[in-house]
Amino acid sequence: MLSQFDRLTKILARSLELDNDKLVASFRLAGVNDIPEISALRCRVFSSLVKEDDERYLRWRYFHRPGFSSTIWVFELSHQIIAALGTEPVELWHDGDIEPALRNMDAIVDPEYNRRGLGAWMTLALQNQNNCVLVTGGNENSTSMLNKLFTALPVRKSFKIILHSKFYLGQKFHYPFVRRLISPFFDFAFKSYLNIKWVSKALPKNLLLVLFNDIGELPELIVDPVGCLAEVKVVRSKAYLKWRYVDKPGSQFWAVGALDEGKLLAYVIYNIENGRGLESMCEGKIVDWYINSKTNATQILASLFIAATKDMKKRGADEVLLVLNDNISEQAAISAGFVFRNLQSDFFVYHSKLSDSSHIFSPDAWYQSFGDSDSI
Amino acid sequence: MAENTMSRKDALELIAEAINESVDDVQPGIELVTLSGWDSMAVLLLMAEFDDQFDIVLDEEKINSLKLVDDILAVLEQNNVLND
Amino acid sequence: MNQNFSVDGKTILVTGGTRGIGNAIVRALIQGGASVIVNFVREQKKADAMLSEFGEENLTLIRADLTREKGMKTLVAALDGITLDGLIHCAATGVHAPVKDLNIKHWDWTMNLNVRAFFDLIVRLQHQLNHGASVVALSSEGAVRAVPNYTLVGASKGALESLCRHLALDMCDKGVRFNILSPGSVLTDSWKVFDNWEERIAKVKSKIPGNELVAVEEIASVALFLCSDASKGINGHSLVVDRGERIVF
Repeated sequence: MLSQFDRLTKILARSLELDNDKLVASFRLAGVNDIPEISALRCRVFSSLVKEDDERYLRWRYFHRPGFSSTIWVFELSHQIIAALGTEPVELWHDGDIEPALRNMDAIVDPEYNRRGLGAWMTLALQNQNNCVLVTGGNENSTSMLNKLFTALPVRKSFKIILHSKFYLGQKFHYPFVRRLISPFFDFAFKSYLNIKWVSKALPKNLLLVLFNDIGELPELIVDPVGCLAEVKVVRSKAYLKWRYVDKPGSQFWAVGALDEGKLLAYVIYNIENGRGLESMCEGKIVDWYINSKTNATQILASLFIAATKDMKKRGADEVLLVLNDNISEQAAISAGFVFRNLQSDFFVYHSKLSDSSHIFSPDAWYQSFGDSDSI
Repeated sequence: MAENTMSRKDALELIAEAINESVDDVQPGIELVTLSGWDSMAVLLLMAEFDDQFDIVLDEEKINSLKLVDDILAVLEQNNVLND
Repeated sequence: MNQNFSVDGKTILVTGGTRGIGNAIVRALIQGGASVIVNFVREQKKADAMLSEFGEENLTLIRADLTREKGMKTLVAALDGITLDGLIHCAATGVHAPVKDLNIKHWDWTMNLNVRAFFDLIVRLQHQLNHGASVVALSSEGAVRAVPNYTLVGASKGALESLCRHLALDMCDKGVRFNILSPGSVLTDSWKVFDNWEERIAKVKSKIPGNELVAVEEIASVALFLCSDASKGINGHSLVVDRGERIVF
């Protein structure tokens, strides 16, 4: 009996007027020379959402991973790239073991070939080659397909701290003069709330708080990349952190850490995105964190969340966002004054060998952060 | 002519399974675009089922012409698959 | 018919010939007896349907992305040994958005096909254009007037028009004419890039004398005229084909 992949290969091949072998051969890893064509396809599909430095982003994301010459797949038909699917090889830690996994992202199909099943087929092809595949996010075109091919987990809890009320009030009150009138009161209220929450939230006395102005210093201090948060997580190794947060072009990340006798016990990585234009919101994000101590874990993390938020406030952030899942992180965020906003079910997991009872299909077991998506 | 035949009820269940929707939501008169599961994966699976079970080949033009659940049933009817 | 108005026996290259106005122009040229070479980059099925309809005797298809060096080389290689009596540039693209959402990448993408590719083609094929050849570039009202969310495409068409005028001067000693064909509002799929396309069409119709959009066949007729010897006296000009849309205040 044919597998689902083989069945759908036959159907898609016929639809594209190829034989099965040619269809499979048309799906290949991209080369650096393909970057302009991939970027042009992204322009065609995403139009004005494509950023100015798109080719630089593609080069970093898919051609600068140590140990991998290319991590983006393309589908080529009649010498034209008509679809692409980006991947990020990662290490997944669960049940005391690390196994290789693949994150999928940046999936696009030329509109001329929409609704042929090409996106689904490419996803199945990668599932065929990899035991474990993860996807974060989706859009109206892909969510339905992702729900069919993966297990969706509600693991992304969104939290926020408001530092300046201008944009918050902009969503609630239509008239600018009303906003100008009441924003000082709201600013005072938000500031007072945080002052109360932040009282007595310093690090334990035996730990030293360090602000990393040069994020390049952080990966060098990593000894045990797994840490003690959650039972399932993508490991942030030294090499991965360096690629993700030091080498990423066009972005600047900062970090705060807690040192215990010179050894890195915990860290929080954050960044700020400025909107376009003088009147746009400056949005801070806590993108990743780690702790290697169960003792006082909540207190230590809360203290670092606060230090990061204070630094972002100094740097002009109007709001600070945080996405998390595990219990310790949630308690730390609430202790630091973050307020819960919503729960998203846009994290998808596939594993070819593990049953539904495995930890990786348990929502409570996962560590999650903005760093687990390609939005950062 | 298809060697396999089935009832309308079974056909609707087959369609519902391909689209990953409840069979209560996949009934005559329903517009396919209103079904969240009607995506490219559903199209592929439907084509695969029609090919495997009934030797029916759905080409792109035919797929694009499918607007209602009834249209899918009509394809089965035209190929003498429905036995009621 | 006065033979001056005929394109019978002429060999004409049309870029973007599988859709919209380009497609109508290809049809008109073939029906007029021309041999047409159609460049396209997507919609293979439409291209195949055209080949089935007109046959290989009258129609040659060349699939090539003119914004890529690889595509340009493919097209030029396919035209090796062929001399052209006409070249009609219909291929176009663009990002339709307000400036606040645009960046330089969108500029490059729009200009690369709309203007750069046209210039690149002329440079590479200039020695294959026969004496008396006619080159036509498809423009739009956005070249001369400001249209909402049309900044990049409008600017590209403005550049294209100026380029044609300068090429008309530059290549007159080779006997090659350059003209611009500027259609008015035509009902093609291009409207659907705008969210409120139906509203836009209704508004436009109300301003046109006779309240009807110009048909693609009417545009194609003028393209055919510009490729014929009857238009020999027209060089470096824009011909507006819009049923009078632009004359109305």
